[in-house]
Amino acid sequence: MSETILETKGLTKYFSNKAALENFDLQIPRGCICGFVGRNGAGKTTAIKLMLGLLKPTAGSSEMLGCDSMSLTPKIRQRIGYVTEGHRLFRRMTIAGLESFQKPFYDNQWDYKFFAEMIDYFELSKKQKIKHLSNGQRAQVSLALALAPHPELLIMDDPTMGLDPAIRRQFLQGMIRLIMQQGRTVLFSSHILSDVERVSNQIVVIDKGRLRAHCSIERFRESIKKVKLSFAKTVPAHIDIEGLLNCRIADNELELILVGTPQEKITRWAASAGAENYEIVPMNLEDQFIEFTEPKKRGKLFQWENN
Amino acid sequence: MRFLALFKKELREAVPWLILATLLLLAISWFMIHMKAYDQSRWHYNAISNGKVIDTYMIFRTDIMLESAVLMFFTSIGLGLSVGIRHFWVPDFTRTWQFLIHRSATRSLILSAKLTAAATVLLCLSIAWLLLAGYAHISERVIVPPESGIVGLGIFYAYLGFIVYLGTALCALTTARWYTTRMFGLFFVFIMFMIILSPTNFTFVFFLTVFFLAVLIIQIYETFLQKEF
Amino acid sequence: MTTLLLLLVLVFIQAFALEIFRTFYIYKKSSYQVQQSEKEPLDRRERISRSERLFLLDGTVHLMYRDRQLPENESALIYDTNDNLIWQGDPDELPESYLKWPPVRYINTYSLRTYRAIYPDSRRSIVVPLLNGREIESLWRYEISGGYFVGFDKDGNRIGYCGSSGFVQEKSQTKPLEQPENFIAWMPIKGGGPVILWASKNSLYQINFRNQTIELLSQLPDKKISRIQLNGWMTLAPGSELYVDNEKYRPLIVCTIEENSVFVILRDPAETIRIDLPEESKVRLSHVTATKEKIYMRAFDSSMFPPKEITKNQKALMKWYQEVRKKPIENYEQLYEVDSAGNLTLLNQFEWTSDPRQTTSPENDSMEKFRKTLTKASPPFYDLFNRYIFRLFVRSLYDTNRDIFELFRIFIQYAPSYNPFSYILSLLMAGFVFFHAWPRRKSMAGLIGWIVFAALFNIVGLLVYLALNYTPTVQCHNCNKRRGLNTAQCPHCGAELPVAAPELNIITGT
Repeated sequence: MSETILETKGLTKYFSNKAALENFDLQIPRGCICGFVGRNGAGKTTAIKLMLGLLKPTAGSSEMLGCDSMSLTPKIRQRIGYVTEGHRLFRRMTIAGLESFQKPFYDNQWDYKFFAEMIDYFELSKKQKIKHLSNGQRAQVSLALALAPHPELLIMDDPTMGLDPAIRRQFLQGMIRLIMQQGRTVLFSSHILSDVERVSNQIVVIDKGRLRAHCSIERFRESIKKVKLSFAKTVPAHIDIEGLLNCRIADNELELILVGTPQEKITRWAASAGAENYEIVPMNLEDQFIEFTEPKKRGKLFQWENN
Repeated sequence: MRFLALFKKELREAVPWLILATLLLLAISWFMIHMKAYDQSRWHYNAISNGKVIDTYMIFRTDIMLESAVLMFFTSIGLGLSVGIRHFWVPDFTRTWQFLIHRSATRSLILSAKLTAAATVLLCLSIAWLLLAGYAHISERVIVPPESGIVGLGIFYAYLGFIVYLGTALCALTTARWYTTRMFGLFFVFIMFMIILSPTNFTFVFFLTVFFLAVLIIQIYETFLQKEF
Repeated sequence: MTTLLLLLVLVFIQAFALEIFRTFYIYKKSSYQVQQSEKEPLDRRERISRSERLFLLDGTVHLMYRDRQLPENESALIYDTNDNLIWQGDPDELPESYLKWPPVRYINTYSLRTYRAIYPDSRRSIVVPLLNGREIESLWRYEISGGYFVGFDKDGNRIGYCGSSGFVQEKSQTKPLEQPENFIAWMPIKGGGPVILWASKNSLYQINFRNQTIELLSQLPDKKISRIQLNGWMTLAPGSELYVDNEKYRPLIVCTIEENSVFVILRDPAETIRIDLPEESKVRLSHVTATKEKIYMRAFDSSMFPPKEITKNQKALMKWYQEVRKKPIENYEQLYEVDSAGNLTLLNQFEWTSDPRQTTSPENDSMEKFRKTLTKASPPFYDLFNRYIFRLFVRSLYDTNRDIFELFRIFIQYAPSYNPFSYILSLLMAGFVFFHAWPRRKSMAGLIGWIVFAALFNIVGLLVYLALNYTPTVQCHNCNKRRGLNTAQCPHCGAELPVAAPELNIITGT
């Protein structure tokens, strides 16, 4: 279980003179279900494409299943399933046509029965043309195509993008069931933190092309805290607590977002700052992610945004 | 099996264009051959009268398949362009390159399947041309059948259509900017046409086209293997 | 490929600019120059230069001048060599029996090559019709691939083949008829045609499609027939073009086989004569005619014709032309009698002098100045490209496709001017490339290569370099110099691309 199935070292990619990914170090062990999260333009898709050898890195390297990403052999690619961003498939083909197109690339790996079951499960017909399917249905077909050859490693680039909540839930339930049954390694990127929380056991956070977090969901949740402190008089002018991400002041109240700060340090600082009391406010994963990736000097987007 | 799957997929994408081109060629050419057959039977009596030198232009006549050959020329170019766009530009718009590239097949195999499918399509067009020539040979309305040279030229045009396809592919694959060298693939092909349609030494022309073909294929392979998707 | 294409684009742009200048400036400026003869009386030298030399049977030469100012029936003025006007009248009703010479009439090579044209609209086949009244009896087409004629009846059935061995029924019996370099077809006055005189590279055939006969008139295995002339060979109707009175003249064909040699085929009686002018002879143009009594040859030469030894050296030839055009032109024409063995006896020689040719005009001077200005920015290497490759290609079009040649003619007139400004520009380009490529260099060899390339190809070189080498730069975090993103290491200090900022919070662990 501890074997590394995917590894990047100092992976860097520049587009023009802008860094899309900088010094990205990642190791994904076998059997892990890893959620890739980040804001828009953080570099998630770039990272995935670099790992799959679809882009050339400016610096650094990437290995999948022990093979360099820039020279992935057909045999290695056979073991990797990939669901593309937006589920782009050949529109003029039927589902059956796509299946017959995909099959020959997997020697004896293709599981006809499994594919048929998945199509059944998603209530699709093999005679349907891709161009007549909705976004959600296309996503389902993409998943079925990626899973039918039972790949060792499954990479999905924002698989629930554009899906309504009902279809998204159905998609995820299907995904969970299959992943649990097969014990695969999965790497999928998403904007929807609740999906990541539901499915993944590890989280990778990318922010402005840099790796910010690679840990278990629990560790991530534990690390980021929102602490509310009340002061009798004024809030201290200088806040120098360890792990400070952000702070907000409202009258005599101070709200701190801290990352990785131990409990005792919070208590000690609160005492030294003269806080009357403090409490740790529960945050959901989404709030934690937003706080973790919020830029320090970001301007207001809307009039009613607080400082 | 992999190559066959890729080849069938690419061929399927190109077939509608082939059908359109073939129908156009056969229908219009059939009509043109019949019109030309009527012309063949008409000679200006006064130009062939006793005691006179016969005007050179009365002796030099166009072939029964002249207009069809012109149509074949432009049809091949159009087909090459259409299939090139279908194979290389449309995946850019529909963003299906990643789906195509990530499979247990090398990039050169994927590219070879595309080129083979295009070559097959143009070969089918040349078969249609041969059928047309066959019809012109057996038709009772035609006095002088088409000469073998012009029949051969039609097949040569199908081959030129393939070179246009390669030029289109190169334009699509290159990552250069629009205002720099993006369209040079097609411009290169245009220069080739300017050069080869002028002289009359077919051997020279053929080897020149082989040179252009080689340059284009090498550039396409190099670009495709290095391309980022 | 990019370089070649950009060079061609530069050629097009510069040549079109030249043509636009010519069209909108030169033609607007120039006005019709009234001919000398319309303003002042023609001087003697001018009159003699413009006159046609007419020979009598005894070799006497008269000069016929056509005055276009006079009515047609009075326009012909015949002078003797002492400038005496001896006759004036209609040029079609000359008073004496002057010798009639065969015209140089032949199909130009451009037409003959159309049967090999690659583009179908330019392609033609030789098809000879046999008509029965207004109806087609049969059509005979020359098959270029096989080298024979194939006959088809009006129903499209094959009726026979015609090759060098004659008319046969089976294809296997035919022998190839060489491709024509020259031919002429006619319908004899008494019918029984069409008849074709078919001149291949070394042989001359006469083919009668009605009678289905082929006659080998001449075969010269080691000589090439460069030109043929016919005089009275075709039995045509009086008044038709090329008609010759066979009561006065013997039918003949003149084949020019070398510069100083002709081969003459005669009838009534049949004989062939080879006429060789001496090697040192300077005469260039020969005509032969034969009356019932004698055979005559006329030859012309001029100081305008360059000596043979310099014709192959382009530079020497241009220099010679520039010199000779400044001087009056010395001309002479000779009339010879030819015997059956081909020996020549000089009967008469007429000499005259023409005015020097104008070497340049104000319009040409303006064009030359504009061309020099336009080509100042021409890349040095382009000059070589134009001279040795592009010009050769355009000149080859002259023989093969006149229509496209006309299109390219403007480019052949464009010639770079080889001036210092062009070289200075090249150095500037090279300098720019150096400063641009220095932070982006992968190797010294590559850097030097691109600098030399830009120096050789000037603006084209710079464009090609920029098109193929656009790499953004960033500031190196180690040495603070600009470095390209095409390599992982900085070319100045070797540092790898930047590492993650240390102040970011990173969460790791399980």
